Amino acid sequence: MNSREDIENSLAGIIGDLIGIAPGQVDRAARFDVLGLDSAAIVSVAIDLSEELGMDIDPVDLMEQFTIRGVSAIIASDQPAS
Amino acid sequence: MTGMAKTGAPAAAIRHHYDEDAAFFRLWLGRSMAYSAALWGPGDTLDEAQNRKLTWIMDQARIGPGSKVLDVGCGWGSYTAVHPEGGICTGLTLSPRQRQYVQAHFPRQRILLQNWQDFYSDEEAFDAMVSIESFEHFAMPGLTRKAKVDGYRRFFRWSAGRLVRGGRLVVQTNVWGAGGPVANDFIGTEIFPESDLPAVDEILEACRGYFTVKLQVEDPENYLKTCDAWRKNLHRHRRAAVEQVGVDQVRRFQRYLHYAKLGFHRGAVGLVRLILEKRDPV
Repeated sequence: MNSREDIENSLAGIIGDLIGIAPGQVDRAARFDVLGLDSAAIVSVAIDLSEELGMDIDPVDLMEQFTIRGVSAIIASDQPAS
Repeated sequence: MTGMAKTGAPAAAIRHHYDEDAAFFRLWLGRSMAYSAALWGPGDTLDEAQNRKLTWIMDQARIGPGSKVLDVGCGWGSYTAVHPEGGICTGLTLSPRQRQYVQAHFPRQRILLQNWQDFYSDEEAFDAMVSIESFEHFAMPGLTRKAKVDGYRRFFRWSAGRLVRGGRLVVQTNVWGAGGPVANDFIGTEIFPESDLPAVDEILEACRGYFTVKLQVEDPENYLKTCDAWRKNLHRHRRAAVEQVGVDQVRRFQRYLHYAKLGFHRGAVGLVRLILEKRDPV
């Protein structure tokens, strides 16, 4: 199980790498397009996140939630209980 | 390995390479090896949904064990595999590795490395034809609408010429979504970089005079579900996939499947299945 906080931290790290700022500086409530991510970048983030967390990440979740906080909440709640 | 006889090694190496490629696809396409949209019923697994589609196609095209069937774009042989229920199959593909794979698995069927434009066979007529997601590749980007429709019309004229009287042609293809290519973002072009997808009305216009449309089904939701199943399979078998083809190739396919899912989700790309019946000449 990945906690919501783990997922947020992973996402902030991946997106921070992509846009060239420290994970702590990434605004977790900012829309992905405001952070400078286009659809192609969002697909990359989905794949990186899936590798890092070892779980399937649906790109549609990233498109529909469009903030680190929103996506993390959805992914955390979608996990099967272990 | 370096001491191996030079005459034997290359062919074996190539065969090994082809087998690896097919094994990679099998990891996520599943047993059916169908690289095309399935037809999902309640509770279906991917393999069941692919079988449901093939059964539907055979019913619609009135194909039985003795039927002579021409499969334009046979892929990894998902249709060829339905032998004998699916009739005696002639499959066309442009991929040498697909031809080799399918012919090796189904030695009694005839698999040809040939473009449909080069396939002429005066001595035989086919009872039915299937084109399961090959139509996507019949038009290059940059054509005018007229040139595109003319190209499709050539395909339908050719198809009608290969069929028996009243024979049916099943076309399953991706199409542009309701907004058309202009309204689409990069997703369509990322998925099909070398092809211009058809619009439904272009297909209908092109087949007029050669075929009667018996049934037209538009069900992109079935493709979204199929893409999702492929995507999840590739995730589940990622380690084996990386061993087969390397991490870069796996990522390339992951991107592709993500784009495809987003394309269907947004309605940028659609799916149509057409049951066409050859018209009598006027």
